[in-house]
Amino acid sequence: MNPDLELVNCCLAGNSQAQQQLYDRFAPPMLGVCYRYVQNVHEAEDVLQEGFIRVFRYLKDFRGDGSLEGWLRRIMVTTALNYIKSQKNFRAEFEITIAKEESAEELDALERMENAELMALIQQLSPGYRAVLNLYAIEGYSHKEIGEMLDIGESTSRSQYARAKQWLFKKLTHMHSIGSANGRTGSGK
Amino acid sequence: MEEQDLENNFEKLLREKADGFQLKPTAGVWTAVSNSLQSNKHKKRYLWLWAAAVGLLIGAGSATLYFLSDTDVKKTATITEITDQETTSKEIPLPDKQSIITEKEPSHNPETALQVNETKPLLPAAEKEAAPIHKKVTTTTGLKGASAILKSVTSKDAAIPDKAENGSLTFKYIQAADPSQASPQQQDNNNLSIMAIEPLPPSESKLAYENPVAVLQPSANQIPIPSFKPSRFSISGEITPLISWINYGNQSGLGLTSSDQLMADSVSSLNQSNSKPLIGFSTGISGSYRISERFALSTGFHFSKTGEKNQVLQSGLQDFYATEFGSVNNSGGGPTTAANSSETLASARYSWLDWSLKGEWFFYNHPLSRFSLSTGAGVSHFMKYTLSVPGNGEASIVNTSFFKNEQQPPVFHNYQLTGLAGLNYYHTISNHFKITTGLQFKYYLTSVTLSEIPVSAHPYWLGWNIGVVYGF
Repeated sequence: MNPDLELVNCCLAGNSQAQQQLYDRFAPPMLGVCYRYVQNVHEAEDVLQEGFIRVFRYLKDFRGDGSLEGWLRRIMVTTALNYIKSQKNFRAEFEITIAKEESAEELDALERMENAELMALIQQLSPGYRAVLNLYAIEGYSHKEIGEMLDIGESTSRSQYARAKQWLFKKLTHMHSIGSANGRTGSGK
Repeated sequence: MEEQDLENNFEKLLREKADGFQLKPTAGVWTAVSNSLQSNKHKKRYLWLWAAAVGLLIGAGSATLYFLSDTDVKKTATITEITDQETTSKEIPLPDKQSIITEKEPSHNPETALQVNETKPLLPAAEKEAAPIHKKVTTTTGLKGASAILKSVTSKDAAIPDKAENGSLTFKYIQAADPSQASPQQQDNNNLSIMAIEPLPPSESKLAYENPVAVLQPSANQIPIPSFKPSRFSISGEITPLISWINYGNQSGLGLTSSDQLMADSVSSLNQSNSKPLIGFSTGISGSYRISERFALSTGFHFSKTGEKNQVLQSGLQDFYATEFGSVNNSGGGPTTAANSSETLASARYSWLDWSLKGEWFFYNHPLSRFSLSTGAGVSHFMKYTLSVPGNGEASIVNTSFFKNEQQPPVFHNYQLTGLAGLNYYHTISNHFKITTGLQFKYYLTSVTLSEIPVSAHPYWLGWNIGVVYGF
């Protein structure tokens, strides 16, 4: 039997050890997912807690068609979206002043960046833009789906994603230039 | 093309970085999740307890009904034969109630004692000369003041009621002139078998024989008969102490595709899991019309107070009061103490004016005691909402209009449809008065949307009523 399904069945039978095993296995990556949508770790833990309560409630609906991790991730994302939608500043805008397309330099900077550094960078985006960036670039939802999930138009999702990406590239360019300058300084010594 | 590649690379890189990012949650998260799982288990256990309690109630009710209706049909009865020489007693088996055959309708004449139907002479003239033997039949039920059916298997013998006392019936036994005509079984039973002793309502009061040679009608002073008459119209007043809850639900149903639905589900499940019952009451008057022996229709007005307790954050109380009440008709003033981050129980109370129409089916009809099941529907007018937090003040909204939803935000709609059901017992205490008591249940059917989230809230309560009925 699929080990994921076996674990799910044990959880459904009320086996508390299996429930904790499921939690221990998936809580760290899921907290990473939650963290990408909210402002800080404390909020991310709140979302994770609500998400796992929901996971155990709906566990009987998991058929094993896809991966368990994918199913959990979807619930976490939806829970996180619910959370940020309930926040007052969800629809706050931020100014994007530059309109620069991505280039190989920014991608290079992105590649060399640590996971945590990138996440910290994404954290600086406002909740709405952060959600669109996460949903489109990372989770792989279409703009139409994102529009439905966030109650915004498809074109709004598209433009917000473009702006979020531009903002990110601006930051990456800045970091790249600092990195290059440091490199030049370092080689000069 | 190159631009597209760059964009794809950007998303791929971003995805890889994101997938590789993990954080270890603090221990408190699992504790909270685990507690939630435990509380769900407890809720399921409570459901079983409720089911068991309802089952017990139904079982106890059924048993009570069974014994009440069967007290007069005992498996044995004692026949004491009193003669000049000796007194002998023996117990004889009685058949099941089902075997009792209702006799032909007698010609009632309550004023006449032991009147004989003249179309069928009780006994041939010769047999009347036989010396009567007194036999005393004692029912062990302690049946009080009821009439009885007495059946004899003999066609030639006769048993004439002599007197009735509490728990016993004495009659004169007149033996047939030729005992040899009796069957062997009849002879075994000393020519007499008591088939059944059964109390009857006054309207059906009679004495009957299996193969009746006569139908004997007792007089009131020989066999006491309750004189209570069923009333066609009645009015009643009652009070019902109750326990009330609120059932939260998701108006749009469950599903993971719509974030709104999940939000609603999340809010409703949070409310549901924290919801605790509150004690309230319902009181009012109603009128009833008995359309047949077993059915009645009634309608009435009641004032009801229901509610629930739910968890609120101390730190969110100011917002909570502001959201719930705004500046509308806030008679309590809101929170008074400094906020902190702990949770506290808030009591929400709702006042209603209920009108209801219900049907009632009497499944056990007796002059002294009646049982019925009732069900019906009604409309409840929302009157007042009061929220109180211990140590943090109280606030309330009074709905001043019967026709519009004037309170903002709407707590409940102006009118709710309700469904009700009850198990009722009536006890006759005089010709006009009865007392009533029983289990009552009411559910507010109309969905209520709370704030902007499609969460429905249905108050419901379970109570035990006590009332007085005046029949005329």
